[in-house]
Amino acid sequence: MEELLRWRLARAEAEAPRPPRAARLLEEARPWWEIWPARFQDAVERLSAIRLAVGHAMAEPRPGRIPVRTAALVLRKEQEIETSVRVLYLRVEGARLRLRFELEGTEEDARKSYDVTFVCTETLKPLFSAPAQSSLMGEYSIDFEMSPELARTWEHLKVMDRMPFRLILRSDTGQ
Amino acid sequence: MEAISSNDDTGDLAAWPDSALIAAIRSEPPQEAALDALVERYWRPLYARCRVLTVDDEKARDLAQEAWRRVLRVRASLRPDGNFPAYLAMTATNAWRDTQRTALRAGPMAENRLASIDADLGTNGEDSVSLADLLPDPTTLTQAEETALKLDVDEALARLSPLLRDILVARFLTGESCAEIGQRYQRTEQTISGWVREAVRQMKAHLREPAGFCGDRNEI
Repeated sequence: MEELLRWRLARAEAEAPRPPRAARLLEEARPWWEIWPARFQDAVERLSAIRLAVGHAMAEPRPGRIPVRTAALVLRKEQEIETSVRVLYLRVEGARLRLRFELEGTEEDARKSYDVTFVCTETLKPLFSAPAQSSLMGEYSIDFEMSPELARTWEHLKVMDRMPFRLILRSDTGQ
Repeated sequence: MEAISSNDDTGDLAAWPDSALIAAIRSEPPQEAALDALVERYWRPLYARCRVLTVDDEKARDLAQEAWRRVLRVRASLRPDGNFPAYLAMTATNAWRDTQRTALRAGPMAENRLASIDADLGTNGEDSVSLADLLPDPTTLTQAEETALKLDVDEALARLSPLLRDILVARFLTGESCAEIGQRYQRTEQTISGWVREAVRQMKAHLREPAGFCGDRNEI
Protein backbone atom coordinates (compact mmCIF):
# COMPACT_ATOMS: atom_id res chain seq x y z
CA MET A 1 0.00 0.00 0.00
CA GLU A 2 2.81 2.37 0.88
CA GLU A 3 4.46 1.76 -2.49
CA LEU A 4 1.21 2.39 -4.33
CA LEU A 5 0.51 5.63 -2.45
CA ARG A 6 4.05 6.86 -2.96
CA TRP A 7 3.76 6.10 -6.65
CA ARG A 8 0.52 8.12 -6.82
CA LEU A 9 2.17 10.90 -4.84
CA ALA A 10 5.06 11.01 -7.30
CA ARG A 11 2.67 11.21 -10.26
CA ALA A 12 0.78 14.06 -8.61
CA GLU A 13 4.03 15.86 -7.92
CA ALA A 14 5.04 15.55 -11.55
CA GLU A 15 1.70 17.00 -12.64
CA ALA A 16 1.58 19.88 -10.15
CA PRO A 17 0.45 23.24 -11.52
CA ARG A 18 2.70 26.27 -11.33
CA PRO A 19 3.17 27.61 -7.80
CA PRO A 20 1.42 30.84 -6.76
CA ARG A 21 3.45 34.02 -6.55
CA ALA A 22 4.68 35.20 -3.18
CA ALA A 23 3.09 38.62 -3.56
CA ARG A 24 -0.33 37.08 -4.00
CA LEU A 25 0.07 34.71 -1.05
CA LEU A 26 1.23 37.53 1.19
CA GLU A 27 -1.73 39.68 0.18
CA GLU A 28 -4.19 36.86 0.79
CA ALA A 29 -2.64 36.04 4.15
CA ARG A 30 -3.12 39.55 5.50
CA PRO A 31 -5.48 39.53 8.49
CA TRP A 32 -8.43 41.89 8.65
CA TRP A 33 -6.84 44.07 11.33
CA GLU A 34 -4.06 44.93 8.90
CA ILE A 35 -6.45 45.67 6.07
CA TRP A 36 -8.76 47.81 8.23
CA PRO A 37 -6.61 49.05 11.14
CA ALA A 38 -9.03 51.83 12.11
CA ARG A 39 -11.90 49.37 12.33
CA PHE A 40 -9.81 47.09 14.49
CA GLN A 41 -8.77 49.94 16.75
CA ASP A 42 -12.37 50.94 17.25
CA ALA A 43 -13.31 47.36 18.12
CA VAL A 44 -10.45 47.04 20.58
CA GLU A 45 -11.46 50.23 22.38
CA ARG A 46 -14.94 48.85 22.86
CA LEU A 47 -13.48 45.55 23.97
CA SER A 48 -11.48 47.37 26.67
CA ALA A 49 -14.65 48.95 27.99
CA ILE A 50 -16.33 45.57 28.29
CA ARG A 51 -13.53 44.41 30.51
CA LEU A 52 -14.46 47.05 33.08
CA ALA A 53 -18.11 46.01 33.06
CA VAL A 54 -17.22 42.36 33.49
CA GLY A 55 -14.82 43.28 36.26
CA HIS A 56 -17.60 44.94 38.22
CA ALA A 57 -19.90 42.02 37.66
CA MET A 58 -17.27 39.72 39.05
CA ALA A 59 -16.70 41.53 42.29
CA GLU A 60 -16.52 38.23 44.10
CA PRO A 61 -15.09 35.76 41.68
CA ARG A 62 -14.56 32.23 42.87
CA PRO A 63 -11.37 31.15 41.22
CA GLY A 64 -11.05 27.44 40.69
CA ARG A 65 -14.79 26.82 40.86
CA ILE A 66 -16.41 28.40 37.83
CA PRO A 67 -14.85 29.48 34.57
CA VAL A 68 -14.01 33.17 34.49
CA ARG A 69 -15.88 35.15 31.87
CA THR A 70 -13.95 36.75 29.08
CA ALA A 71 -14.95 39.94 27.30
CA ALA A 72 -16.18 39.54 23.75
CA LEU A 73 -17.40 41.87 21.06
CA VAL A 74 -19.70 40.47 18.39
CA LEU A 75 -19.53 42.32 15.08
CA ARG A 76 -22.33 41.68 12.64
CA LYS A 77 -23.36 43.53 9.56
CA GLU A 78 -26.49 44.89 11.20
CA GLN A 79 -25.43 45.18 14.83
CA GLU A 80 -22.60 45.04 17.34
CA ILE A 81 -23.01 43.32 20.69
CA GLU A 82 -20.82 43.81 23.73
CA THR A 83 -20.94 40.58 25.66
CA SER A 84 -18.78 37.86 27.17
CA VAL A 85 -17.89 34.22 26.72
CA ARG A 86 -17.28 31.45 29.19
CA VAL A 87 -14.58 29.03 28.20
CA LEU A 88 -15.87 25.51 28.75
CA TYR A 89 -12.95 23.51 27.39
CA LEU A 90 -9.43 24.48 26.53
CA ARG A 91 -6.52 22.35 25.50
CA VAL A 92 -3.28 23.25 23.78
CA GLU A 93 -1.44 20.26 22.41
CA GLY A 94 1.56 20.81 20.22
CA ALA A 95 0.52 23.93 18.37
CA ARG A 96 -3.12 22.88 18.26
CA LEU A 97 -5.68 24.89 20.19
CA ARG A 98 -8.96 23.19 21.01
CA LEU A 99 -11.41 25.55 22.62
CA ARG A 100 -15.11 25.41 23.36
CA PHE A 101 -16.94 28.42 24.70
CA GLU A 102 -20.42 29.63 25.51
CA LEU A 103 -21.40 32.97 24.04
CA GLU A 104 -23.70 35.12 26.12
CA GLY A 105 -26.62 37.15 24.87
CA THR A 106 -26.90 35.96 21.29
CA GLU A 107 -29.02 32.85 21.78
CA GLU A 108 -32.03 34.34 20.04
CA ASP A 109 -30.07 35.01 16.90
CA ALA A 110 -27.34 32.40 17.01
CA ARG A 111 -24.96 32.10 14.09
CA LYS A 112 -23.50 28.88 12.81
CA SER A 113 -20.01 30.24 12.69
CA TYR A 114 -17.82 33.21 13.56
CA ASP A 115 -14.39 34.36 12.66
CA VAL A 116 -12.86 34.84 16.11
CA THR A 117 -9.99 37.25 16.65
CA PHE A 118 -7.99 36.66 19.82
CA VAL A 119 -6.78 39.93 21.31
CA CYS A 120 -4.08 39.95 23.98
CA THR A 121 -5.50 41.16 27.30
CA GLU A 122 -2.34 42.98 28.30
CA THR A 123 -1.24 44.61 25.07
CA LEU A 124 -4.58 44.70 23.20
CA LYS A 125 -2.70 43.50 20.14
CA PRO A 126 -4.29 40.94 17.83
CA LEU A 127 -2.86 37.45 18.31
CA PHE A 128 -4.58 35.45 15.58
CA SER A 129 -8.00 34.73 14.19
CA ALA A 130 -9.64 31.34 13.89
CA PRO A 131 -12.99 29.99 12.71
CA ALA A 132 -15.50 28.94 15.39
CA GLN A 133 -18.31 26.56 14.57
CA SER A 134 -21.55 26.25 16.50
CA SER A 135 -21.79 22.95 18.34
CA LEU A 136 -24.80 23.51 20.60
CA MET A 137 -27.12 26.49 21.05
CA GLY A 138 -24.86 29.30 22.17
CA GLU A 139 -21.77 27.10 22.23
CA TYR A 140 -18.92 27.26 19.75
CA SER A 141 -15.83 25.19 19.10
CA ILE A 142 -12.46 26.21 17.79
CA ASP A 143 -9.84 23.76 16.60
CA PHE A 144 -6.94 25.73 15.27
CA GLU A 145 -3.24 25.60 14.73
CA MET A 146 -1.60 28.46 16.57
CA SER A 147 1.91 29.72 16.22
CA PRO A 148 4.21 27.34 18.11
CA GLU A 149 5.55 30.29 20.09
CA LEU A 150 2.13 31.30 21.42
CA ALA A 151 1.17 27.68 21.97
CA ARG A 152 4.09 27.28 24.34
CA THR A 153 2.92 30.19 26.46
CA TRP A 154 -0.65 28.85 26.61
CA GLU A 155 0.35 25.25 27.12
CA HIS A 156 -0.61 25.14 30.79
CA LEU A 157 -3.68 27.33 30.57
CA LYS A 158 -6.74 25.87 32.31
CA VAL A 159 -10.44 26.57 31.92
CA MET A 160 -10.61 28.10 35.40
CA ASP A 161 -7.75 30.51 34.73
CA ARG A 162 -8.29 34.11 33.78
CA MET A 163 -7.86 34.05 30.03
CA PRO A 164 -4.96 36.01 28.50
CA PHE A 165 -7.21 37.05 25.63
CA ARG A 166 -10.42 38.79 24.71
CA LEU A 167 -12.42 37.97 21.65
CA ILE A 168 -13.82 39.76 18.66
CA LEU A 169 -16.36 37.59 16.88
CA ARG A 170 -17.14 38.56 13.31
CA SER A 171 -20.04 37.28 11.28
CA ASP A 172 -21.62 38.40 8.03
CA THR A 173 -19.56 41.56 8.10
CA GLY A 174 -18.69 41.26 4.45
CA GLN A 175 -15.14 42.22 5.34
CA MET B 1 22.32 36.43 6.76
CA GLU B 2 23.14 40.07 6.06
CA ALA B 3 22.88 39.54 2.33
CA ILE B 4 19.23 38.57 2.61
CA SER B 5 17.84 42.05 2.84
CA SER B 6 19.66 43.29 -0.24
CA ASN B 7 19.50 40.21 -2.42
CA ASP B 8 16.51 40.03 -4.77
CA ASP B 9 18.01 37.50 -7.13
CA THR B 10 15.79 34.43 -6.97
CA GLY B 11 18.44 32.47 -8.85
CA ASP B 12 20.78 32.85 -5.89
CA LEU B 13 18.05 32.43 -3.34
CA ALA B 14 17.09 29.07 -4.80
CA ALA B 15 20.37 27.69 -3.50
CA TRP B 16 19.91 29.03 0.01
CA PRO B 17 19.06 26.67 2.85
CA ASP B 18 15.57 26.74 4.34
CA SER B 19 16.86 28.43 7.46
CA ALA B 20 18.04 31.51 5.51
CA LEU B 21 14.85 31.74 3.46
CA ILE B 22 12.68 31.40 6.55
CA ALA B 23 14.67 34.11 8.30
CA ALA B 24 14.02 36.33 5.28
CA ILE B 25 10.26 35.79 5.33
CA ARG B 26 10.11 36.29 9.10
CA SER B 27 11.44 39.81 8.68
CA GLU B 28 9.10 42.79 8.40
CA PRO B 29 8.27 43.32 5.61
CA PRO B 30 8.92 39.79 4.42
CA GLN B 31 11.22 39.38 1.45
CA GLU B 32 9.06 38.32 -1.48
CA ALA B 33 11.93 36.81 -3.44
CA ALA B 34 12.80 34.55 -0.52
CA LEU B 35 9.17 33.47 -0.24
CA ASP B 36 9.05 32.79 -3.97
CA ALA B 37 12.10 30.58 -3.62
CA LEU B 38 10.61 28.71 -0.65
CA VAL B 39 7.26 28.24 -2.39
CA GLU B 40 9.01 27.01 -5.52
CA ARG B 41 11.04 24.52 -3.48
CA TYR B 42 8.09 22.90 -1.71
CA TRP B 43 5.13 23.55 -3.98
CA ARG B 44 5.23 20.24 -5.84
CA PRO B 45 5.46 17.89 -2.84
CA LEU B 46 2.87 19.99 -1.01
CA TYR B 47 0.49 19.90 -3.95
CA ALA B 48 0.99 16.15 -4.30
CA ARG B 49 0.13 15.60 -0.63
CA CYS B 50 -2.98 17.74 -1.05
CA ARG B 51 -3.90 15.86 -4.24
CA VAL B 52 -3.88 12.53 -2.40
CA LEU B 53 -5.96 13.96 0.43
CA THR B 54 -8.56 15.72 -1.71
CA VAL B 55 -8.46 13.47 -4.80
CA ASP B 56 -9.23 16.56 -6.86
CA ASP B 57 -6.93 18.87 -8.84
CA GLU B 58 -8.65 22.13 -8.03
CA LYS B 59 -9.24 21.34 -4.36
CA ALA B 60 -5.62 20.27 -4.06
CA ARG B 61 -4.42 23.60 -5.43
CA ASP B 62 -6.76 25.52 -3.10
CA LEU B 63 -5.67 23.46 -0.12
CA ALA B 64 -1.98 23.92 -0.89
CA GLN B 65 -2.50 27.68 -1.14
CA GLU B 66 -4.48 27.71 2.10
CA ALA B 67 -1.58 25.90 3.79
CA TRP B 68 0.79 28.62 2.64
CA ARG B 69 -1.58 31.34 3.82
CA ARG B 70 -1.77 29.73 7.25
CA VAL B 71 1.98 29.45 7.47
CA LEU B 72 2.37 33.08 6.46
CA ARG B 73 -0.07 34.24 9.13
CA VAL B 74 2.27 32.84 11.76
CA ARG B 75 5.49 33.53 9.86
CA ALA B 76 6.95 35.63 12.68
CA SER B 77 7.08 32.53 14.84
CA LEU B 78 8.51 30.14 12.27
CA ARG B 79 11.68 28.44 13.45
CA PRO B 80 14.51 28.67 10.93
CA ASP B 81 16.05 25.51 12.40
CA GLY B 82 12.78 23.55 12.28
CA ASN B 83 11.66 20.94 9.77
CA PHE B 84 9.84 23.30 7.45
CA PRO B 85 8.55 20.81 4.83
CA ALA B 86 7.09 18.65 7.60
CA TYR B 87 5.46 21.71 9.18
CA LEU B 88 4.03 22.75 5.82
CA ALA B 89 2.64 19.26 5.17
CA MET B 90 1.13 19.13 8.65
CA THR B 91 -0.46 22.54 8.14
CA ALA B 92 -2.02 21.37 4.87
CA THR B 93 -3.30 18.20 6.48
CA ASN B 94 -4.79 20.16 9.37
CA ALA B 95 -6.43 22.58 6.94
CA TRP B 96 -7.94 19.64 5.11
CA ARG B 97 -9.15 18.11 8.37
CA ASP B 98 -10.78 21.43 9.20
CA THR B 99 -12.79 21.25 6.00
CA GLN B 100 -13.95 17.76 6.96
CA ARG B 101 -14.91 18.70 10.48
CA THR B 102 -18.55 19.43 9.88
CA ALA B 103 -18.98 16.06 8.23
CA LEU B 104 -17.08 14.51 11.10
CA ARG B 105 -19.68 15.78 13.52
CA ALA B 106 -22.88 14.99 11.75
CA GLY B 107 -22.35 12.83 8.72
CA PRO B 108 -21.14 9.36 8.05
CA MET B 109 -17.97 10.23 9.95
CA ALA B 110 -19.91 10.88 13.15
CA GLU B 111 -18.68 9.34 16.37
CA ASN B 112 -21.14 6.47 16.15
CA ARG B 113 -19.63 5.51 12.83
CA LEU B 114 -16.16 5.60 14.34
CA ALA B 115 -17.35 3.37 17.14
CA SER B 116 -18.43 0.80 14.60
CA ILE B 117 -14.87 0.67 13.35
CA ASP B 118 -13.66 0.15 16.88
CA ALA B 119 -15.72 -2.99 16.99
CA ASP B 120 -14.68 -4.27 13.61
CA LEU B 121 -11.11 -5.33 14.10
CA GLY B 122 -11.41 -8.82 12.73
CA THR B 123 -9.77 -9.74 9.47
CA ASN B 124 -11.60 -11.31 6.64
CA GLY B 125 -10.64 -13.13 3.50
CA GLU B 126 -9.80 -9.96 1.59
CA ASP B 127 -6.83 -9.23 3.83
CA SER B 128 -5.08 -12.27 2.52
CA VAL B 129 -5.02 -10.81 -1.00
CA SER B 130 -1.94 -8.70 -1.65
CA LEU B 131 -1.99 -5.58 -3.78
CA ALA B 132 0.53 -7.24 -6.06
CA ASP B 133 -2.18 -9.72 -6.95
CA LEU B 134 -4.51 -6.92 -7.94
CA LEU B 135 -2.26 -4.36 -9.60
CA PRO B 136 0.42 -4.29 -12.25
CA ASP B 137 3.92 -3.23 -11.29
CA PRO B 138 3.81 0.62 -11.53
CA THR B 139 7.42 0.72 -12.72
CA THR B 140 6.75 -1.25 -15.90
CA LEU B 141 3.61 0.49 -17.14
CA THR B 142 2.93 1.97 -20.54
CA GLN B 143 1.54 5.50 -20.64
CA ALA B 144 -2.00 4.21 -21.08
CA GLU B 145 -1.66 1.69 -18.27
CA GLU B 146 -0.24 4.35 -16.00
CA THR B 147 -3.17 6.65 -16.70
CA ALA B 148 -5.61 3.83 -16.02
CA LEU B 149 -3.89 2.92 -12.76
CA LYS B 150 -3.94 6.55 -11.63
CA LEU B 151 -7.67 6.71 -12.24
CA ASP B 152 -8.21 3.45 -10.39
CA VAL B 153 -6.19 4.60 -7.39
CA ASP B 154 -7.96 7.97 -7.36
CA GLU B 155 -11.33 6.25 -7.51
CA ALA B 156 -10.39 3.93 -4.67
CA LEU B 157 -9.08 6.83 -2.55
CA ALA B 158 -12.15 8.93 -3.29
CA ARG B 159 -14.44 6.16 -2.13
CA LEU B 160 -12.71 5.97 1.23
CA SER B 161 -14.19 8.10 3.96
CA PRO B 162 -12.08 11.20 4.71
CA LEU B 163 -11.10 9.62 8.00
CA LEU B 164 -9.70 6.49 6.42
CA ARG B 165 -7.93 8.51 3.72
CA ASP B 166 -6.38 10.60 6.45
CA ILE B 167 -5.31 7.44 8.26
CA LEU B 168 -3.71 6.00 5.12
CA VAL B 169 -1.78 9.20 4.43
CA ALA B 170 -0.66 9.53 8.03
CA ARG B 171 0.45 5.93 8.28
CA PHE B 172 2.04 5.33 4.87
CA LEU B 173 3.08 8.76 3.57
CA THR B 174 3.82 10.72 6.73
CA GLY B 175 5.11 7.58 8.42
CA GLU B 176 3.31 8.14 11.71
CA SER B 177 2.95 5.15 13.99
CA CYS B 178 -0.49 3.91 15.03
CA ALA B 179 0.27 5.18 18.52
CA GLU B 180 1.01 8.68 17.21
CA ILE B 181 -2.15 8.73 15.12
CA GLY B 182 -4.07 7.42 18.10
CA GLN B 183 -2.91 10.34 20.22
CA ARG B 184 -4.34 12.77 17.70
CA TYR B 185 -7.66 11.00 17.44
CA GLN B 186 -7.74 10.13 21.15
CA ARG B 187 -8.07 6.46 20.29
CA THR B 188 -5.99 3.48 21.28
CA GLU B 189 -3.15 2.18 19.15
CA GLN B 190 -5.19 -0.98 18.63
CA THR B 191 -8.13 1.01 17.31
CA ILE B 192 -5.93 2.86 14.84
CA SER B 193 -4.38 -0.39 13.74
CA GLY B 194 -7.92 -1.57 13.00
CA TRP B 195 -8.63 1.58 11.01
CA VAL B 196 -5.47 1.08 8.96
CA ARG B 197 -6.49 -2.49 8.20
CA GLU B 198 -9.97 -1.34 7.28
CA ALA B 199 -8.59 1.35 4.96
CA VAL B 200 -6.30 -1.14 3.24
CA ARG B 201 -9.12 -3.65 2.97
CA GLN B 202 -11.40 -1.08 1.35
CA MET B 203 -8.67 0.06 -1.04
CA LYS B 204 -8.15 -3.52 -2.14
CA ALA B 205 -11.87 -4.04 -2.57
CA HIS B 206 -12.24 -0.86 -4.65
CA LEU B 207 -9.23 -1.67 -6.78
CA ARG B 208 -10.58 -5.12 -7.45
CA GLU B 209 -13.88 -3.78 -8.79
CA PRO B 210 -14.25 -3.18 -12.53
CA ALA B 211 -13.26 0.26 -13.80
CA GLY B 212 -16.06 2.80 -13.88
CA PHE B 213 -17.89 1.33 -10.90
CA CYS B 214 -19.79 4.14 -9.28
CA GLY B 215 -21.49 2.53 -6.31
CA ASP B 216 -22.15 4.23 -3.00
CA ARG B 217 -19.18 5.57 -1.15
CA ASN B 218 -18.22 3.69 1.97
CA GLU B 219 -19.45 5.40 5.05
CA ILE B 220 -16.95 4.14 7.54
